[in-house]
Amino acid sequence: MSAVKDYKKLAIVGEVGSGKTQLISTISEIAPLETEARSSVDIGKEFTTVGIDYGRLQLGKGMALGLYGLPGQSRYSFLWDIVRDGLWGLLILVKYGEHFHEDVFLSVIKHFDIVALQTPIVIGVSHSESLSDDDIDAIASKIESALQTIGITAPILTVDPRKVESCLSVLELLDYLSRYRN
Amino acid sequence: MSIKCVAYTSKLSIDLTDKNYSSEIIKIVNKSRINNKNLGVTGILLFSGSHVFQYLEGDNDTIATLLYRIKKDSRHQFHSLALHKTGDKRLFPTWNMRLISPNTASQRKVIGKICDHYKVVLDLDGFQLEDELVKGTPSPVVVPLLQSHAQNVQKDSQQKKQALKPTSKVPFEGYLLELKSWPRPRTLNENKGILQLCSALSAKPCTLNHLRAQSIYSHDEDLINALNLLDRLNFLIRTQDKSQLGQEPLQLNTKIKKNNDVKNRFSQAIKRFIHSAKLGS
Ligand SMILES: Nc1nc2c(ncn2[C@@H]2O[C@H](COP(=O)(O)OP(=O)(O)OP(=O)(O)O)[C@@H](O)[C@H]2O)c(=O)[nH]1
Ligand SMILES: [Mg+2]
Repeated sequence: MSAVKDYKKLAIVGEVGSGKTQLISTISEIAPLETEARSSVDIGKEFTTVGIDYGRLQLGKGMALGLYGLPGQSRYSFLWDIVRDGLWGLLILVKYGEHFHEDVFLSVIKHFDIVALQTPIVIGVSHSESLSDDDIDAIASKIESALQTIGITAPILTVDPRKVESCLSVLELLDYLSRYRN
Repeated sequence: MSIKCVAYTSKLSIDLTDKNYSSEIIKIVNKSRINNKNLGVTGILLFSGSHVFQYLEGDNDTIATLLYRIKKDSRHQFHSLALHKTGDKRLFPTWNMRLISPNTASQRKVIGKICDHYKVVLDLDGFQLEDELVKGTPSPVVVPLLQSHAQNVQKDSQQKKQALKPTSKVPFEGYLLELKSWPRPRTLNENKGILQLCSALSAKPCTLNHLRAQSIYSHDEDLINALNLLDRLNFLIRTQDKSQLGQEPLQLNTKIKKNNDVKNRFSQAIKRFIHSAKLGS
């Protein structure tokens, strides 16, 4: 297998049950040949036990996107640093119906320093497939005002991590965001 | 309930030259039969040499996922989508994945059935029957898929063009435009153009010409209308463009340029990936 020259990372962060594992297993490649590439990436085995998900999209010759599912609680922030290098985008999953922990949510964004680094960021509200527009607006404005307290604005989408097309839309938006930076 | 129906052709990279159904085929069919039963998917599977033709029907998201998996499966060299339709009833309601015996008559029969039902001629890219069935049991209405799609798209944009009155004055000329905040999820989920436009506007203040250069919309009126929409809903910040941003001297730092090349390459690759993974392609 040829070496991956251009390898970038997508971090998917969210609290318990927000759909990180699901999203990665929905779009990550499963073909057995790729297991080699998987293990060649530096992710120590001990990390999997504390809940890192890892997946990968081969994008063509020498290019790949690593998918990293990371727990949202800041006591795991040492895990977040794994993706710092080569971070392509940040997806924060918010599970609808659970209490929205503003401080937890913001600590992720602050940790990644997304303003200074100009990292594309998308907020995805999961478990939202049967919500009315009003419900969605309500959670969106809650998220939006949390973002305002640290002076940023970011796109908020509803996401269903079980559905391929929904996951692809997130990738598409992250690509738009990244394409127009500087 | 509506049913999504797709058919594709592909070449398997495993060796299927053994005329008596190699055990590999049996394995594939048995596995997919069990999977499909759980997923509520029905359809048929045809082999010809190492080529496969598969027709699948089921609910939209399940089919999207299956097709995604198939395209990513290293055993398949995905050729093309021969059919992509939404119907209201299944063509093979009792077959979870029927393997059609590899003789021309039976294969012709089922392909004919699909052609007749959807009134199309299937383009069986690479998949050959012994004789010249492939281009079709003539159907009552002969509509090559891609062509009809292209016509629809054209019709759409023509209709749109007519519907839009030309704007008398371009209201965004001479301003720097910036995104104040992002529209609500519903708007974003349903509108690719707005999504892209907002991404551009959120990156940095843009002149109208800068936005035009991104070719997000193929018609200028569409761009203006989208900006109008954002402006009306108060998502836009407009400031007078004093710096004549459009005419800043061209001083390309070669290092930045190189970075951008790498970035563009990656972006192109992502775009290709998404495009090829989508149900409709
Ligand atoms: N209905 C519905 N179910 C979802 C959605 N997102 C995730 N799920 C399901 O919720 C369950 C939990 O999702 P996971 O992907 O395991 O969540 P996680 O973020 O990995 O959770 P932890 O690993 O515990 O932190 C799974 O059964 C998912 O299939 C959604 O948008 N709608
Ligand atoms: Mg998990």
